[in-house]
Amino acid sequence: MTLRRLPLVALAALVVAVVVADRSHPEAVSPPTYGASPIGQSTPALVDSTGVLSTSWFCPGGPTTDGRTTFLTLFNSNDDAREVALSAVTEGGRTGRRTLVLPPRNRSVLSLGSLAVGEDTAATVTVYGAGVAVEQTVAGRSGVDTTPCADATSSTWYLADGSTTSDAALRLVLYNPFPNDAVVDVSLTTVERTVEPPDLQGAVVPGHSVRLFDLAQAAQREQVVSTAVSSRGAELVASRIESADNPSRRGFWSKLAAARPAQTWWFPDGAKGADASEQFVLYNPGDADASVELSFLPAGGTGAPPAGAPAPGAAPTTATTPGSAPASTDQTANSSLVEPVSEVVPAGTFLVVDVNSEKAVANGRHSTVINVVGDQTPVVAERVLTRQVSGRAATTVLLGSQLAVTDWYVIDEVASHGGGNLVIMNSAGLATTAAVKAIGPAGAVDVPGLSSIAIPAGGAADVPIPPSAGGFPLLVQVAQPVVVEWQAPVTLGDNTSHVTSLAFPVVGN
Amino acid sequence: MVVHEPGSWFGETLSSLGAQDYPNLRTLFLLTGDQPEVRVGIEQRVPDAIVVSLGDDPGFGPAANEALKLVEGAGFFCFLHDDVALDRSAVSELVAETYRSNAGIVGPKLVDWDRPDVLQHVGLSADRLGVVLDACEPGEIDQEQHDAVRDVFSVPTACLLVRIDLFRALGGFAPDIDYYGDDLDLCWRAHLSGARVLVVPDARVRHRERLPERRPDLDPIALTERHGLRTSLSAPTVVHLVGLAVLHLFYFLTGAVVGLVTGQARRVRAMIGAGFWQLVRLPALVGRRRRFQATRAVSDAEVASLQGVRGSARLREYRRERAARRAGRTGRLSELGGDLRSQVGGEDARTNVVIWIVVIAVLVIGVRQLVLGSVPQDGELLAWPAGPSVLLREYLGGWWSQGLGGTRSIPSGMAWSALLGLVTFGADGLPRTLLVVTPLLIGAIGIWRLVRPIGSSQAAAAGLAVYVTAPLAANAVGTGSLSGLLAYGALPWVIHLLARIHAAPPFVGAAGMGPRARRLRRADVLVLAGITAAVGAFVPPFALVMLGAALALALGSVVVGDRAGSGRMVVEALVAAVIAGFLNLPWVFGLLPPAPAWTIFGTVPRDPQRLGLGSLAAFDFGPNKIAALSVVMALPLLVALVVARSHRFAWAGRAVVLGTAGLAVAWLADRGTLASSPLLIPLFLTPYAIALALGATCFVAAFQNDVRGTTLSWRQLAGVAAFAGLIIGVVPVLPALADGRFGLQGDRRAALLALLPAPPPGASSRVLWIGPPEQVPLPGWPLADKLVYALADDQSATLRERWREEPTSAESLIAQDLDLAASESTDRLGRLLGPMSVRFLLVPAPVAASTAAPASAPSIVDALDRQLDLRRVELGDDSLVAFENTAWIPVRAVATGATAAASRQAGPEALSRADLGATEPALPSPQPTTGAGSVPDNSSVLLSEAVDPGWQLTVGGRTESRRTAFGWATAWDVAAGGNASLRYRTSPSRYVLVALQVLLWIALLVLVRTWRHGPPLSRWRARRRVATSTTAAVLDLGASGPAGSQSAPVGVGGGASPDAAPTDWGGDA
Repeated sequence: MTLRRLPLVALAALVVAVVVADRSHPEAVSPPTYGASPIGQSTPALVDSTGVLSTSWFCPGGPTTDGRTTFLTLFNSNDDAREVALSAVTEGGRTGRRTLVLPPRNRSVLSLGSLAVGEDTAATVTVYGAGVAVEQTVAGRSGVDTTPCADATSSTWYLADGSTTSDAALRLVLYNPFPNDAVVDVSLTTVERTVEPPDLQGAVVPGHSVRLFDLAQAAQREQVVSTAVSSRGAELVASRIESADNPSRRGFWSKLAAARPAQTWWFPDGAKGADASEQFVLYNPGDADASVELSFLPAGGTGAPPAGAPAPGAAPTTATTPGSAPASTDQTANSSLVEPVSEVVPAGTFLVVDVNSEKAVANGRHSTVINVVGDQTPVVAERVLTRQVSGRAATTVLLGSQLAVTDWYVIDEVASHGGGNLVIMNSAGLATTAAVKAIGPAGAVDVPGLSSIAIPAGGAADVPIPPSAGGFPLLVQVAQPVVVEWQAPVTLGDNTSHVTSLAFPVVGN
Repeated sequence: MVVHEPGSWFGETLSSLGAQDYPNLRTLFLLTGDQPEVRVGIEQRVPDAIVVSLGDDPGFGPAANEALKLVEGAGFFCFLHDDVALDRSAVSELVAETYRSNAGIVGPKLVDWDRPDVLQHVGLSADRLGVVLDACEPGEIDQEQHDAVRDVFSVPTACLLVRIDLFRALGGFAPDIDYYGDDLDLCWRAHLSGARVLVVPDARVRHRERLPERRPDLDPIALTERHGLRTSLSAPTVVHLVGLAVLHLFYFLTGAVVGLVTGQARRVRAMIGAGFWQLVRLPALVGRRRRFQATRAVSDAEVASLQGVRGSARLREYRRERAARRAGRTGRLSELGGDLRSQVGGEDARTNVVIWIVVIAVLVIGVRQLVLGSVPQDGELLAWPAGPSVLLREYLGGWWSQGLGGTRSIPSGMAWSALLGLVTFGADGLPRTLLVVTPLLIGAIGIWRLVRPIGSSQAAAAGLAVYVTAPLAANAVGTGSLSGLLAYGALPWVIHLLARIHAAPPFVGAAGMGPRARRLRRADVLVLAGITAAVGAFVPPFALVMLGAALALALGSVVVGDRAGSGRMVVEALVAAVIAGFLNLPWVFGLLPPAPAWTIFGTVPRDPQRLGLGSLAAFDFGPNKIAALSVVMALPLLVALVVARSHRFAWAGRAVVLGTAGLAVAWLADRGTLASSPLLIPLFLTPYAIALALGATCFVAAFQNDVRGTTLSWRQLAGVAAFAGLIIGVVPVLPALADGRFGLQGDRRAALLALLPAPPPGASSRVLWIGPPEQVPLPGWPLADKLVYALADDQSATLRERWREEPTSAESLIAQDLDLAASESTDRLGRLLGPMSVRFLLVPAPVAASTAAPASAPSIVDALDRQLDLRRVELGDDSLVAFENTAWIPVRAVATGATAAASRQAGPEALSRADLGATEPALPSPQPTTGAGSVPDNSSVLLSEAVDPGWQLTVGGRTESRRTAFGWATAWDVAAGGNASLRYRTSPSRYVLVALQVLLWIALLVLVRTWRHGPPLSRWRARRRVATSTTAAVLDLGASGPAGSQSAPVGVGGGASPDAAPTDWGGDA
């Protein structure tokens, strides 16, 4: 072999060696996340962000005929006006549109009946910009209820609670705000089985329409029924209109469903005792059993975060007097640690946890954190709380919060006029203080006496809203993430409803 | 003597002329072309010669005819080629026999230059079809068996003595025959006039007869066939002509079949080509026949009796060749070289025919479904964009309607597409089929031309087999890689041209022939530039591949120690690349910086596939998965590297470097180091495939020449292994042939697009693709998170969309709008995209490997699902998610009310509030730059194309004022409606640039033609000048003495430069 062949032979040998060494080894490429929703929760929230062109609120609505009314409350938290466009549609296909300008730091209340009248009038509120929150209030024949409108649509919706006993009515509202049709499958889970009513399989909710489904026809005389809605095609919004009148459950509820199950749910208010009946309905729509821990935080605080729950921070314990506005955060906290109640929710079923039967839970008021052990079996949790109000049982149903943030808005007019109260839950191990401000033309102004509310670690503060709040929308600002629920009695005719709802958490985008 | 760039032998030729014993001999040298050094040499060696420079090269016959004007008073002309050496008494013998036999034309016995004992020609016979047959057999030894004066039908012009009166009466040589066949034509006319044609064996002339080497641009077989056919059709009377035509037809048919069977494919091609050539020149035949009949003195029958061949000369020629093969004389013939018959193919012809039949069968079987059916849309094989007139107007007009339109340079590929459309008469499917099928065949022919000179037919067949059966072509088709296919077809030709420019053995060609070699090399550079420009119009990186191949070959040459010419090759390849750039003006401007580098590749970088070098080396990148066996095709190359010698080793070495370079680039692209697209992998692997073909050729040639016959050693064993590799390597092609489309299944998403709702009548719209680049069927612009977005006109992506340049500011708005939707900053994306006429948004999803594990849609689908003005369109297939924009505006629309008002605003904030519903389609037209229709009063005409001063709207004869709509589009506010006309006024500079481009191409073609064959009109002009020249005689033998004994410029020729030095011809002068 001549010398000049050597480089070539060496080159060829090198190529052969690399060919043998470099075998196929494709690497797994992570899928792009471009377009994924940055907020992985379904609690309606007020987005405080610049650069937002338009956001929409989807209100499943309620009846606007036969003496029943449905209002929308729109709140602009910004320092400048916001243009909004409302488009309403009824179950019968009537439509109405309106545009209006929300003044800065102001609230507008609009009757959906002025746009379109029907058995159910749903609406989409398109806001050109951010910083606006919308809630709906439905005044039915048997009561009044308020719920935030949905800030996003979803292809799945879940209702953990519902009752179809003979003295109850349960209707599912499905609102499709998109142009194309949605094909929905509804499954109902009772204590015995899961049923898929034929007329609720492949049911079409046409684009830009709202439909009502009487769930009592599909699952009759059930004390508790959980509902799962799955959509093909367009996404939609689901809520329920429910009423009951029996010793264990009495009232009227119009609540948004949960768009997705979650690992953690926060419930600021709760009570155990002779004059209260509290139940948690835990619905597991997944395919695996869910191990759930319910941590009951005494209103006075535990000084430590509940076991297993996400703890925004750790700090010395503090204590406060339930139902009063604490003046200081330096008080010594109740040092007793919370022992969570562990339960297993079988796959595809629901579980009702009766707080009164839980001996580990002390009497009195408390907050509750429901946490799923592991991260593969999220659940949907709703609280059914019955209290004696004016000598009569009043039941409230609340879907827990999936968020704990520092700023919350209470935009409901009734709540801020006085007579209502705020329940501020601090599940962290660090006591903190909250300030309640009224949002008016002058901006955010402290409500007298509510500028420094002590929130115990692992506890809650029940803050009455004084008349001095002036009926303005309220801003609750806390140094660390909390959850805020507001409650207010609303009298409609002879009925007084005890309305409870989560405030609007403020999130950045 | 007609002299044309003679070689080293010419001294001996001159010496033989000077030594002639004929006392009244005067020599007249007719020089073709500018040959000052030849003139000086002649003057030194033949002092009394007359040297006349003719300027151009009109061909031998027309040049020789010049003697009629230049010479007076002589009795005979003895015409000579410049590659003959006459015996001392040759001229005397010829003249004596002419007197003795009263002959008109006489010729000597021609023997081989190097082997005077071997006969070359002793007179020629011919059949009625004009096919010439030698009196002697190929390689026949001169044993004085032909040494008798006898009548023949024709004598070669190498040395031909003719009576001047006869020559004048006949009008000289046929002016329309430059080379090959002029002797037959002259002698046929001489016979018609009643003159005798004799061969005088006592006159002996040595003859090189290697014109094919000196003039490789001439096809001897084709010219012989053409001129023979023309002469045979010119001679007979009308009555006989009819029968002769039928006879010709019969011979065409039978000759084609027999020729193919007997391995004379080249002859068959020439025969059929001559028929077509004559067919288009029928009018000229009439005048020609008139000249023939003017000389007629005897009947056709009498002439036929003199032709010397009863029956077919072709058949007798074939029998002779077979007999010669049996007698073992072919080897000697081959040694002699220059024999016309060896050009036919000789013993290798059968191999050639067999391998080509197999290759064509493989290709036909492999693509049968694509030819018989249609080419599905996949990869780069997109739908055909439009009819040729639309494409041509678009190219000329300068408005590039791709994307959101703009005056950016339109790709030259659009012009080529238009031309292809014209050639195929506007068919939609045929151009695509041709784009797929033709490169396969052209690539095979190209590799054959590349490897054929390196070794025997068997060696070339091995190279051809490797190139055709390597899964490169199959997987390029299977993946729809148009880039790969075009490179597959073109790169062998490019390498061949580089080899010729390099002039490395055996591609010496015309090397060493002085000015002619330089001209041929320049022609090769221009052809290289033309190929690079044409392929680069579709595949911009092709120029880089060409340059890379040149560098690799040069490096290989340095390594193997044969670097002469390699530097020149690289420089001239660079020149070719620059010329190719100019040929693609003005498009190439769009590819230059500051345009991003990915515009060269036509697409943004994608995630690397990481197939691995092993897969790449086996061409395992497509649907033909058994390709792993192909890796053994490298064995012959490796073995050739160690066993080959001479130029076979040199080319094996170059192949190793070339293949390694190609493989390395493909590997870098595969790993993501080189920003590229998987569709370009076949492009980068083509040099590797060519290297394998070269390796197989070198191996077989080396085995035949360097190994066979040696003692048994590892070389033979390695050879056996390499042969096994060759055989095993071709196996993968067999399953690839099964489906008749090389696995090209088509993108099923293309079929889904047909399910999208049709637009309203007269409305046109756009489609916005969003997804990973490997899923989007056309090149896109970078978006975010390794996604791209791409706009396509109407619903299906066409070939127009495969060219992608940097997005305009208007097109960048789309990305901004998508960002707003993705970040949940808007739920009115439809309104934002509406003015861009985006009617559908398509998101391709990864195709699920199985139904059990369905693929999940990308997250962007979630963002689009959240948009209130987008409607999902169910296509029944998870591989494509489609949204219809309910707020879209037709590309050309009339708007009123809120929409018209909204068009005066700009920015997403305004658009998200805008009501874009009040629009109607308007001004429809299939042409992208024109439109007509009626427009109502108080309306706005919206044109969803980027604002440009070239757009003009006239309504009722009034030119409306243009304004900007939505911040980027074009609009006109029309107060008084009426018939409206929309058009784009092309800038004059565009016409200038296109005209310049066309002129450059014409110049390239003319220069190539000129440098290869002489100026296109030069021969015609030269013949015409010769025919009409009134030049005074320079040699009057009827006067008292020679007209002059020194050279004299005549006609267009000039005198020798005082500085010119004589060429060193050697010889015995």
